[in-house]
Amino acid sequence: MLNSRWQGSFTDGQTAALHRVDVGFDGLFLLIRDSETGHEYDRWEVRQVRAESGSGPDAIDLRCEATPDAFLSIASPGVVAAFREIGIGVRGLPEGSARRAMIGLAFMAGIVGAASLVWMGVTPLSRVIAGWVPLEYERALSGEVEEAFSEYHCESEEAATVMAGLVERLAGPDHGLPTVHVVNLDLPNAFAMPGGGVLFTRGLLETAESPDEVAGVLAHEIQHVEQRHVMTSIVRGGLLSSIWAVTIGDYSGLLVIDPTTAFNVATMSFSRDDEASADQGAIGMLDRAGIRRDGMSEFFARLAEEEGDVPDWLSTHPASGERAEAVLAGAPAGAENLPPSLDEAAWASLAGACTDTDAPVMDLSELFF
Amino acid sequence: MMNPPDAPGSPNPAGAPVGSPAAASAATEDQDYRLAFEGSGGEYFFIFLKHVFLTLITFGIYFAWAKTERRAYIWKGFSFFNHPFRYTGTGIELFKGYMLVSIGYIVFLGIPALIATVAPELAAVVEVALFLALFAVSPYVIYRSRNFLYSRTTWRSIRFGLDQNSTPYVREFFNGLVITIITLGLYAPIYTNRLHSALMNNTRFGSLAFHYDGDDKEIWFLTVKGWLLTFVTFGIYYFWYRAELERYRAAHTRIGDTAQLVSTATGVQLLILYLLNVFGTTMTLGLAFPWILMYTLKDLAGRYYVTGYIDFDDVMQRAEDESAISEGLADALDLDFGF
Repeated sequence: MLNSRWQGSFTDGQTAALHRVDVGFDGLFLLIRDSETGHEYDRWEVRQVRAESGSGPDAIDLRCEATPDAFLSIASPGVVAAFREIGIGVRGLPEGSARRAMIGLAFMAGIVGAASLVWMGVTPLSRVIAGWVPLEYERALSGEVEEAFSEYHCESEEAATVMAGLVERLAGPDHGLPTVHVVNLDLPNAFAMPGGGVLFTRGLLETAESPDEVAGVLAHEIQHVEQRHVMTSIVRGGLLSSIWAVTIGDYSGLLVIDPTTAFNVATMSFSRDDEASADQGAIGMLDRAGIRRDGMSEFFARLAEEEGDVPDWLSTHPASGERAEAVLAGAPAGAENLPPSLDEAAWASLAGACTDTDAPVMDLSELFF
Repeated sequence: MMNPPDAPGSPNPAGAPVGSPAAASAATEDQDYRLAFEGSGGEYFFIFLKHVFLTLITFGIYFAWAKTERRAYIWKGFSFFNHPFRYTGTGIELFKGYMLVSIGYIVFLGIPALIATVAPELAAVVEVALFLALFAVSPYVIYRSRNFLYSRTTWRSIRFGLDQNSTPYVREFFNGLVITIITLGLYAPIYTNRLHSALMNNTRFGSLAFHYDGDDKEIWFLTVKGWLLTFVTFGIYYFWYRAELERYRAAHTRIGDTAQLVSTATGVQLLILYLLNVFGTTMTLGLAFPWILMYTLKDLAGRYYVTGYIDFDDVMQRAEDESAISEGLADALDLDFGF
């Protein structure tokens, strides 16, 4: 018995011919017959029928698992309800616009929540993964980076010995750290390199007003190395860009918000945590080595004066004023009476490490462009 | 509308399929088969939000299903002769393809790292060899991934596809590259024309074959004229050049023996589209992208149609033959097509 008749269009999956058909149920089967001739094209077992929304509110598209290439479209009021009644749910029905807006808002809230969790979770995860990468492997990976800087090394032999002595005093005799080098660059700065190397610039040594300032910066950079911050930031960058690529990547070709900018802002604010943590570790090192903390705090205070009005969240380092205060908080009693970390002769050879150098002056623009 | 007068090499200008039952009446059945696109920016934005959310909470796994659903939405929006296209690919096949490629990728990265620790002096050689190997497979990957996309695209249940024989495409890919380098780029227009030709001439809709016979010399002059005028007009002419190229390529594309692709693209149209894309996205910080994409696709569909006669009863199904691995590979090598 054929009931619930609808008009539809049917393609059998064998040819591109489109057939006008009458559709109805016959017991457990869906019958598909030519509207004009009554020829039966197919007979689909109801439990094998899959339905999804078609083009329009009262339209559905149907397929049968037994003949997956064949396709049936019905557009008729009430058809969705009729199929539901016999247990064939229709997938992908368009939501009403109010309901869609509500679900859309829920998705937005969900995205914010999930992104926050990722934000919080990605740093600890990166630390764990970075810990798995042996320092030797990181060093092998970064061989070329060190190579690129080697021609700018400018420290004298005496200065190198003084620096090595400071490193040993801070990190202990079995520190296993590579040699700290000074590069011929005016800009006062110091870097922890991939693979555990530390670089000072000539500018930093010339700007520093006391050996304790250099010791403070050195302790800070050694902490970056020991806490594996470089590898952590490489892993974090990789994780964040992968997450970006799988979630937004396919759409971002049309987006104008440059993904790289978003990453850099994210990575920066993450690296502020690393900086604060390196500061904390450095304080411990200075205390154990019997070196006053003032040098480090004074250096940061001077940085604060120079850096002006960079907004807090755009800076890679915690605001230097705050840093200087944090460094001094909880200094051990009597620390102010400690002697300078280097005697005058050693300090003079370190501060003038690159006075007589033949090394070329580093051109930053050449490095980056 | 009849075949345009410049329909090249048509063996049967009257448009009648030789030997088919419809041959006698075919001339009177010539018609325009319209391409159209209908899609809602709001719906697409909703899909976007859903995908970002689900991909985040599934640690990225959902992306394959997201990609599939997004394609399904866009494919369904396109219709030809009032009948929609469909994307029949599944999330799971895409996911498996990507997983296999990821494993291959890890092995691929692992080999040089392993060799670097065992025999560091060989590391550079191995790296170069692997890079060359990747380069050597890239045209196969382009071809196969396109075939994957085609084979998951149906219209009236009939699949599109590319011939299994990728040799003409691969040969042209390497030959043309060498000649383009030797001629300092002067061969480039011919190179792209031949690559387009190799793909188009292998394209099938079921048993119906596509033919492309764009002439190298004509394309070369068209392109060089385009480059020069673009330079002279500070870039403005570029859109007229693209429109002319699109119309030329369409005019030289036949579907079967009796139908012909037509593009009505104009320079003004493409310029407006470009301005809309650039200003529409920048001024809304990218948020208008679903609406702009929908408009762009509608405009694209609206400027193409097929004219002539196609006997759909005669178009037979073709076997589904491509795995999703090619798609994963294409993505990994950055050779995919944007969708």
